[in-house]
Amino acid sequence: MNFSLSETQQQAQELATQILSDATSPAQLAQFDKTGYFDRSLWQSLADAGLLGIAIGEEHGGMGLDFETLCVFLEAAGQHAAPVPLLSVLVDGALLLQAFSPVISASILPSIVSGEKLLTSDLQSNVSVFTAQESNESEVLLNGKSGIVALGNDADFCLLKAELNQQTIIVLADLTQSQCSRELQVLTTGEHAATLTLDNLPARLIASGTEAEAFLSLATRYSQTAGAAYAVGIAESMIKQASTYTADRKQFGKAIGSFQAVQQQLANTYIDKQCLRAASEKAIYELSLDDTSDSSREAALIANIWLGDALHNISHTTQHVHGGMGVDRDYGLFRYCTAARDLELRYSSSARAISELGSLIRARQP
Amino acid sequence: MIVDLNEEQKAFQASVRDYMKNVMMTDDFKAELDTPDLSHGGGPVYWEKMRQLGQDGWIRLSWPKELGGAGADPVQQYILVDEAKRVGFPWPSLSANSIGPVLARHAQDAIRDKVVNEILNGEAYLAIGYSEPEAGSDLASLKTRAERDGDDWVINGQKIWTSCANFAQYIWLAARTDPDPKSRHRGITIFLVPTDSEGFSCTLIETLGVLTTATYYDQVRIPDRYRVGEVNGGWPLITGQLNIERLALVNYGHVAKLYDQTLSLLQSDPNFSPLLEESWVQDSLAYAHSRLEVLKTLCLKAAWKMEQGESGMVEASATKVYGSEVYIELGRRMSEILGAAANVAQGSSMVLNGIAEKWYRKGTVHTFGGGANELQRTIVANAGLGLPR
Ligand SMILES: Cc1cc2nc3c(=O)[nH]c(=O)nc-3n(C[C@H](O)[C@H](O)[C@H](O)COP(=O)(O)OP(=O)(O)OC[C@H]3O[C@@H](n4cnc5c(N)ncnc54)[C@H](O)[C@@H]3O)c2cc1C
Repeated sequence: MNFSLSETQQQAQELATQILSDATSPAQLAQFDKTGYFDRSLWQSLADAGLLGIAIGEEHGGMGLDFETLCVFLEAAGQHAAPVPLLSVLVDGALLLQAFSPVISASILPSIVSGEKLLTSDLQSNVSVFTAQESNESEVLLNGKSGIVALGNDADFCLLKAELNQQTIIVLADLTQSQCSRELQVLTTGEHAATLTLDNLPARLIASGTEAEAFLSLATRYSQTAGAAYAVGIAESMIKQASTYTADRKQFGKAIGSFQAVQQQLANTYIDKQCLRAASEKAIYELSLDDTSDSSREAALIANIWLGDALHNISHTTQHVHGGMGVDRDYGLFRYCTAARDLELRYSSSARAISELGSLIRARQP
Repeated sequence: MIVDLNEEQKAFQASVRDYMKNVMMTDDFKAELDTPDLSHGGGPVYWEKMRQLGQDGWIRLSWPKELGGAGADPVQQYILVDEAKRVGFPWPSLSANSIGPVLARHAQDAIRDKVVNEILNGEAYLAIGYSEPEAGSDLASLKTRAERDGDDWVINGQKIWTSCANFAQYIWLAARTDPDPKSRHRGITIFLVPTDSEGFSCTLIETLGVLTTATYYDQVRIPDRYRVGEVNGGWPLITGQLNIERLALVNYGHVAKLYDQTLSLLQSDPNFSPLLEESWVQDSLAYAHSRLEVLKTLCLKAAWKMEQGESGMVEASATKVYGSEVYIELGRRMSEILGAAANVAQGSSMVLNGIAEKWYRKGTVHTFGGGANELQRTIVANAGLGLPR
């Protein structure tokens, strides 16, 4: 057993933290609240430091480090409420593309690592409906309408699932083509998502049939687990802000953080956060060991359940002990709260994940 | 025991429901309330509706007969506010229901009739100026100073979270008139400050959920007739009114809205109705329904107690804690059912006019506003259970 970070991971963490701290003061973040909450120059700094390619192979211009190290980076981003779409591009998009298609990866990933292009994914949606027609061996034509696609308004490429001859297929589509129209959907975080309408849009085939099912199953595990790592960062920061604030804020002649009622509630947020971190660490470990195992699927679901439960409690409690200050948009806490809320519903909600886990347990062989 | 409204009260409820839905919540008003800056009121349609509300006698209804009102009992008053909030009407509860009657009792003759008439006719809104940057839960430590100067008072200081001050005609202001720090709550006086007074100013504060304001008082000079109640006698006026505010914050219609709307979406929209078959969705609906049914009864019971002439302080505190926490959990459960669409703030994918997205942003105020839940639990423990202080 060893819960510590490797030297490389510590370096990645330090590098990320330095770049993120320089770019995320409340005044800097405020610039992006009403413009899509996306700081393109921070994105470029992360690219220049090599961090966008942290878990992408060296052959595509990346650092070639593992998923565990990517999660260290994501946690740091969560701690800063960083206005950059790391989950969409690096996890939901690039990580999965790299796992399934060396050929397409070679043509796309270098432009992602360099920060020039953006990739997202619509694989987790249970709302989108796309049908495909074969156009040649490696290409299909897509028709249909999506649900809410994160980063959908800005992404150049998107991983999609569609139906082809009653089989599920996974494709990569170029959203900048004229056969794709997007409609802006502004999220609670201020981020720009979109709904997509595709009218005979050519797309490159990545997987079909059982291979596509395997792809989707992996996508869910990686996204849920990475989401939990990101959530740990959000939670850490919310708790730190609440502890610092209540230690300082005085009412009735005392620091409000000295009241037992406040201490007990904040101690509970710490316990929730530790549970979330433990669930996240376990899922990262299981995925690294064997990302197709039943244990990794279960661990990812459990991480997702904790993501929902812990963020819900921590967000509310840390706002509550701040009083009015916690909801003032001139104070930074609210960005963490909306980011928490976005994550709570982004992959699977806690309630849905609990029911899924229940079904897995029921199906187990004694 | 009868745990329900009587026929007369039900008929009253139906008439209020009809009025709120058809006369107040017209399309032009709904559109105005959807504009972020006007979501609390203050727009042209808002004032039109307020005046009509006044003309049609609804504001007057809950006031005691001796103050020019129609003398409705607390149950009717509860029904009225409940139904208004249920359809999203920004009922002026603070201004019209909780502060208005206190003002009518304690204001000086020289201004009473004028201000009372303005309130009853829907022509004036009173914003509450209690909280200060350094005085929130510990309101008795407030520092905004009012000093006597001949026939006038000169006010200096700053208030924060003075909601609706940007469109109010008056601030119902708590100011310190005895600077001796030992006097605390015995050194506070209430004033009515017209917002067109020289030296008064107001800046907007954007919060996670709603718009509120900070108000500034720089040598604001007002005649003594704008003092309400005795000099240094403000504290009982403040605490008497907070009890009512506490209940209004979490009344049933207000908290049930999200469940009502989510359920009817599930029942009527083919994109959502398959979810009704999922066990976890049924669980959450059952959770919501069981919590809300109890909230409804608790609220009616509290209103009934007040009708019987009891103070209902412990019950009001308990109900406030319960209702505010249900509000938060309900927001989560219903949003889990609605899925990612519950996080859309703007765009065609928004569901139920964005109620779930706004619910999350507005939720936490319920647990610390109107007296933080810790303080309410202390009231329950001390006054309700007799635990030592
Ligand atoms: C949107 C909004 C609208 C508002 N509208 C108005 C308005 O119109 N007029 C007005 O006057 N005010 C208004 N308020 C202010 C509101 O009443 C205060 O926020 C509230 O009284 C809490 O005060 P505070 O924010 O200073 O928090 P604090 O007093 O600093 O308290 C913060 C937290 O500390 C804890 N705490 C404090 N004291 C104790 C204790 N004794 N024991 C245990 N725990 C404790 C609680 O967790 C509490 O939530 C509004 C606030 C908001 C956010």
